Amino acid sequence: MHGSTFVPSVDSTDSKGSIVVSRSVVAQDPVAFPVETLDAILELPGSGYDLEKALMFRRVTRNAKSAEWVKAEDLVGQDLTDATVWYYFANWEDSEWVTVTGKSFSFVEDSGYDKKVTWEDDEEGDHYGWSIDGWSEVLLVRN
Amino acid sequence: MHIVDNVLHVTEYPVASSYSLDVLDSINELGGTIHALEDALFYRSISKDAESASMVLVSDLIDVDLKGHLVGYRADDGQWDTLTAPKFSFRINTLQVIAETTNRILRFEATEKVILVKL
Repeated sequence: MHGSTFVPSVDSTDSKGSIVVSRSVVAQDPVAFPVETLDAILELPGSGYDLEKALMFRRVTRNAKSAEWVKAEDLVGQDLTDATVWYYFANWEDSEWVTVTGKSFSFVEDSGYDKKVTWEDDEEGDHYGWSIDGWSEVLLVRN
Repeated sequence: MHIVDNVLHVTEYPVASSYSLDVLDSINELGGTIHALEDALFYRSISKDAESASMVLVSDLIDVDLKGHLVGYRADDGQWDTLTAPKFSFRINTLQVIAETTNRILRFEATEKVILVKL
């Protein structure tokens, strides 16, 4: 059955010819996308997956002093106080960029697993343990 | 991903893409989610060369002659897809609307919105 969890609502075009999109299930302000911008993207090869990564990469690196892809295991022992680390989580159902900020995080090598890199998030006063494979590429951003 | 000459190159599977930083910045400044953008891209892709396009309720398409039209809808896997007349028609079957094509039957809610494009 289509649309059981989400009803798309493309509200056609506004007076400027932009395509207006809103959500009728998840409340959200409508967004007007200029057709020139959409056409520029449609003329490119690639997928929405690529575009999502490109948009997020640009968003988090635009005002940064530096941004580089590194292996998670290379972060072990580094001082990440002034850095923000991002990694792209994706599976068949979902994908999102997850941020790992400095100060409250530390990377340690977990010898109990096969090159896992772990850290704890206690910003909210609770401790959550996270881990990713040491060979996973993460984006190290310094502002 | 790397930036060369004001262009962001995405060189990962399945297809390499290159996005102008200006285009990425303009999209980011507009706000909205990637899903909203995907909706807009699909709407644009099927309506760009069309005579007209609009969002309609599935219930409005029941027993309507849709020759010369196509219908864009969101499939069960979350991806947009299209139906092109005269290979399909909408009809009521108990409480659901059926779109019958040559090789498949799709079920819709009567209150679901789809994109009706006049070619």
